[in-house]
Formats: sequence, structure tokens, C-alpha cells
Amino acid sequence: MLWLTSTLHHLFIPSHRNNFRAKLLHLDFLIVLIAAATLLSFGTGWLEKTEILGIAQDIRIEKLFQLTNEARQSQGLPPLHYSNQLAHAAENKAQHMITNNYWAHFGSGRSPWDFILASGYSYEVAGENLAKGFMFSEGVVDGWRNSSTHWANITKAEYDDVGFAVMNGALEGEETTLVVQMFGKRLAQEQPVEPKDEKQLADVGLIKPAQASGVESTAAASAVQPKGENDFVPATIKNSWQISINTLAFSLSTALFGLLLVVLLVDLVMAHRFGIVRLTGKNIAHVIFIATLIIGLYFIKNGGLIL
Amino acid sequence: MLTKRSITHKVKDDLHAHVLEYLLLFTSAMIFLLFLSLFRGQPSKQFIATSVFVLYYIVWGITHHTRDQSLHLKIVFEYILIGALAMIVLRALLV
Repeated sequence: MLWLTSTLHHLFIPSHRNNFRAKLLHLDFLIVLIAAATLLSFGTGWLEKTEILGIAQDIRIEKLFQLTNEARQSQGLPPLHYSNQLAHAAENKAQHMITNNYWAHFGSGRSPWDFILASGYSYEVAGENLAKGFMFSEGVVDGWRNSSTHWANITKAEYDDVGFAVMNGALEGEETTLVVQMFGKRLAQEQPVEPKDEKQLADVGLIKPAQASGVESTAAASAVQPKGENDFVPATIKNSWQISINTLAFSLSTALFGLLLVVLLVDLVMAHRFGIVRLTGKNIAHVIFIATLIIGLYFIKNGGLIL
Repeated sequence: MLTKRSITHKVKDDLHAHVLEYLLLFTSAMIFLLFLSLFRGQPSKQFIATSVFVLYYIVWGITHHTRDQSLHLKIVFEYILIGALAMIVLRALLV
């Protein structure tokens, strides 16, 4: 305990033991921090490239699905059912945008409705929300929430089903993560559908087993589904055990900048209290710089575009 | 008689003595945040904005201490190392 107190004192409080400057702010210690940050920066890049240990973004379909339904339920609306046909349509739309390098609801002669119909989902009413450049599922849904038109889509009472796609790719030379959300209500004669899909979703935790078994009893009605529809499992669900690189990098960045800010403030106060005069950089300037970066992290975290 | 002024006064004295320089630093910080917001969803542009801000911060530090007649190699290294640390950390998120 004494050792811990002594170490913390050495790291944070200026005294004769650390040449009257918090040890964490010494040049040699800053070099150690830079070495650790370099390891983090390039290490996370390596993890991302392996595509085994890590994924770049923390946007998960199950989370998007959950947040969308929570948003609807907050408005007194029933939750949407997950449709793999709409998910197929969303995935094809995302791939089409990446292949043809556009970011729009309508592009290269295709409309969202073309993708939905091509997936075998005959709709009475349908809609689409797009997002790109977000790091976290919450940021995507918050972005849609803050836009009246996207919010209107999420809270439209007519919709019964929803499907998502999350895809990494380059748009206009910029590596990004695309999110496509497609809504729909089937034509009356085609309901109900997708019993096997819902069982798959239950297996990966997207819906409760009780819900899945309830739909299984209508298996005879599944004839309207296109061939191969049941094979689809969203990629992010398959990879749900992976480390999220951005979550890791964001948490460590916040912790590091927060630590520096605390050390600078403690050092400033203590140096004054002990009447220490020394030749160092201006702590006030460092505090402004680090505080700006911490605020900047918020913009980076929530910095995406919706359409 | 030796008097000890409060830390608030000490900080205020420093800010008053270099009001224009701190105003420039604060303004550049606001502009940096504005660009981060404008370049939402474009991490490579956000990284360029970060690089410019870090470079400005290092130049600001050297200029400030030169005008303050307190420039020392150790201080130059301090600004460079803190700037480099910020760049490397944000690289993990933006590149």
C-alpha cells in the first residue's frame, strides 16, 4: 500500500524525487507513452487486417435491430420482425453502392424498390435508411433519430419487417462502413413467411426462442420464399465474438487523454502550492490542447453521415 | 514581504500577459473541432485536420516560449512529444 502511494505520488505530484515535475510529464515517460500508443495504433491495424481477431467498426446488426425496435416501442408501436429477404436486399444495395461508387437512394439506374423486389419480398409499402462512416451502432440510430425523415421511417406504423446490411468498402476513395436499413410490409396474400430464418435468428440471439417457435408452427406458409433465402446469416452476427478495434482504440484513447489531462492539472496545482519555479512547457496550453482532443473524440465517435 | 497568490490569479496573470497567443490557440482549437464536425464520416480528412492542428500546436508552443524568453530544447521536445502522442493515438481511430 505504501509502495502504491509512493508510486502514484511520484507519477502525479511534483517533488524533489521527480525533479519537481510529475513523472508522467517527463520526456522519457512521454516517449514510453508514445511507444505504447504506437503499439496500439499499429497493433489494432494488424488485428483489423487479420479479420479473425478483430473488426474495424462496432456496428452490429443485432444491436441496430434492438435499437430500432426500442425506438418504435418508445412511440407505442409494435416491434418489427427481422426479414432475411429485406436483409438480402439491403446487402445487395450496399454492394451495388460500393461497386458503382455512389452514395444515394437511387443510383446507376437502380432504386431501393428494385433490390427489395429482387430479393423476393413483394411489398405493400417499403422504405430505406442509409448511414456511413459511423463507428458504433448507437451513433447510427442516434443519427437517424435526429433526422425527421429517417425517424419517420423508423416509427412508421405501417411497417412490419426490417432488414439490415453492414458492409465495409471504399466510396469516392474513402474507406468506410455502410449501413443499409430496409423496411417493408408484405402484400397481404404473402404473409406469414420466414419460419426457418427466425429460427436462425433465435439461434444467434436476435429474437427470443419463444417467438421463433411461435412462427415455426406456420412453416407451411413458407413456400413464397425464394430459393436460398434461409441460408443467409448476416456477417456481423457470425463475427459477434470478435474484438471491436474501434471500441478498444476509442476506450484507450479516451483513457490516455483523460490521464494526461488529470496529470497536467494536478501538476499545475501542486507546482503552485509548493511554489515551484521550473523550466517547462505551459500546462494551460497543454490542457487546452488535450481537452480539445477529448472533445474531438466525441465528434470522431459520432461522426457519420445519414441519407 | 513574500506573498503567495492563488493559482487562479497565477493562471489569469499568464493569460493576461499572453492574451493574443492564448486567443489564437483557443480559436485554432475551435476551428479544428469545426472541421472535425464538417468532415463527419470522412476519417482521412479528419486525420488531415488533426495533423494540421497538432503541427499548429507545436509551432504555437515554440513561438510562445520564444516571445516569453523561456525557450529551451527540453520545452521544444515536450511540445513535439505531446503532439506526436496525440497524432499516434488518433491515427488508430482515423487511419
